[in-house]
Amino acid sequence: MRKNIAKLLLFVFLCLSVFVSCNQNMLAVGSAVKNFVTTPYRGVRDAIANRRYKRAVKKTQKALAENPEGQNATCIVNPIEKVMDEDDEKTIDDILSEVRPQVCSCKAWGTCSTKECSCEYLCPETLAILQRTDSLQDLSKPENSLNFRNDWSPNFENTPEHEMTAGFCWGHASITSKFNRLAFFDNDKQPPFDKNSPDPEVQNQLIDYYREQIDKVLDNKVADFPGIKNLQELSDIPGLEEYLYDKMGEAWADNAMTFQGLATVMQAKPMKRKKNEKFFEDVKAKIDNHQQPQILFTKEGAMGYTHAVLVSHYIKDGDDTILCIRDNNYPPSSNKDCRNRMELKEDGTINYNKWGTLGGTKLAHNDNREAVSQMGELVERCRSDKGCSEE
Amino acid sequence: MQRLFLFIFSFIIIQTHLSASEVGDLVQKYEAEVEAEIKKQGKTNEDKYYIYALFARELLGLKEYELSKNYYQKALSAGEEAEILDMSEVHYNMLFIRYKQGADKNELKKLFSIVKSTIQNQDAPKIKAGIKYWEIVINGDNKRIDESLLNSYIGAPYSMAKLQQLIENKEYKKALNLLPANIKDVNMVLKLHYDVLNRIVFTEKKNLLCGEKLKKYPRSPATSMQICRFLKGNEKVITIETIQKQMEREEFKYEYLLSALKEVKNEEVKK
Repeated sequence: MRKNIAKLLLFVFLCLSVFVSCNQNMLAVGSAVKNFVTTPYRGVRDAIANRRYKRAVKKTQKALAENPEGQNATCIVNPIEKVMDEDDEKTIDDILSEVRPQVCSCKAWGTCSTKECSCEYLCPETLAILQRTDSLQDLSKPENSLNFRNDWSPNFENTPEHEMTAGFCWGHASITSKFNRLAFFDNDKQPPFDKNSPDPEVQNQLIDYYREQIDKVLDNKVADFPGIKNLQELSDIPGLEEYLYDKMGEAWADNAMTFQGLATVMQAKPMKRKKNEKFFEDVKAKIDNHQQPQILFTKEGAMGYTHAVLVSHYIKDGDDTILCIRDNNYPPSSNKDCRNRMELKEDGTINYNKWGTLGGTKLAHNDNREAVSQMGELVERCRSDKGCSEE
Repeated sequence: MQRLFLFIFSFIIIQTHLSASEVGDLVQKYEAEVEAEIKKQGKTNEDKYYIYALFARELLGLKEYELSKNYYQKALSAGEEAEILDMSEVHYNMLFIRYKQGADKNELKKLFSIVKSTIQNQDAPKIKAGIKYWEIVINGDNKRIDESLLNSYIGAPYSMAKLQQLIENKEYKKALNLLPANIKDVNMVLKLHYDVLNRIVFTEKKNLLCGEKLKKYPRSPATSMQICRFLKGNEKVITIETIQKQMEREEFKYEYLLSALKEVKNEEVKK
């Protein structure tokens, strides 16, 4: 009997080990001396950040499995009957407007207080904490985008043959993503220096203050922007727009000018169907895990022509998945209705409607790392906002 | 036996648990994790090389330059012992780190010569552009920026360097031609370049791209708005000296525009 239990435990342990395969113990041995940028060493591409990201994915999926309604969970603040009984002569609109405040959302960053919804749901230690808008798509709106586009990009009317891929696209995508997750805008709150002061020194101090806040976001920390409506407004302010441009260049260099950046999507020949399908699955998983991922790609036949964008969301067309692209070469208003789209073609290659057939495609190497760095910051901020820290 | 398995189970459960503090600071306890990994997998120098390099790479991504450098150094020692043939990533990223840390030209040159002798696929366009990028960054030799580089993967920093070079050489028409076609949609930094160059190159005054913003932010003391006021013809109130002062206050990176502004002033006087 004991032997059988031991065997059973051994079997279960081995099965479980497979699921914790991010641990290096299980990795295949094969130590060919190769450059491990393109060939991961014993199956490991990134060390701690990637492992933590994988664990976060598991935790997010577990939370979703335990509470499938979690995405749209609502709670009642006050009994609705109270509203309904008060006056029979109300119109439906009247009733709805009265009922609405009585209902709150019990999910990450939801509107409920801790009286109606537990901190576990309001500020989960899962990837759900990365999404602060009801829908990821909302992030692609002009108000949540930088006020300027990528430089040296083509005219909107240009044909794909004249596509220019220069510019700081990777910096643009990375900065936008950071602001969408970490910046807390509040137009009604007063900034520490008077916005309307006629004194240029006060104005300069205000600019200095916002620059410090910008630095925090770029360092993957949360930051407040009192007196500012949104990212579009922030990046429009003289002195800040130029600052963000310089930072965009730095972020681009940090991503692109390391060895990893140089080795990114060196492929000009379209990838095989299996790899493309895996890429679509990975992007889809990122979106399902509350992120607009940064992706990189080349144009077919042009290894040096690389571009970096965010994927806004995906739509389904029957069994097919269409990736809706938030392309920084085009105005944010064009993010509507999935106008920039990537699709898997019948021959297994990927078509981007702005570029034609693509060569290599990849998730950016900084994407998981940034997500895990930001998670802890956001959980702490959420707990503080919702009063969970006092528990 | 059962106890052993129970222990292993609880270990796995603890491992998969993710706390806010854990994700909050990836760097904390990093050294302990690296050493644990070395104990677990670092049987040979080759293993050690890859493990150290792997962690160094990640620390570089987290902008922990000093810590990353330390691990790359450890990787290099282990790699040399193991006679690893291709350590190009380590050398390349060491160059990047030291550049970010502000190393002097001589050190960067030395590191760069190692990169050039180790990096693979030197015929690949991106690698080629990458090598030229460092040549220009280290030697400050903007003359080597040609058309192919401007249109390459790393064309944007080249374009900025080229712009500066052309303006400093007073080749204003060429500089104007270099600006992006979608100038109305791009950042104010480039719009300012466009406005300043336009005032010098063309006799007929074109509408200023910065004008709309100045109208929206009439009180802004930012350098960009000061330049815009100057271009609008408010030279009496806004002088080159006041612009320079604001540039210093802001640590404005495009100080070379001042020389072009002086040119604008001369052109105005001529007219």
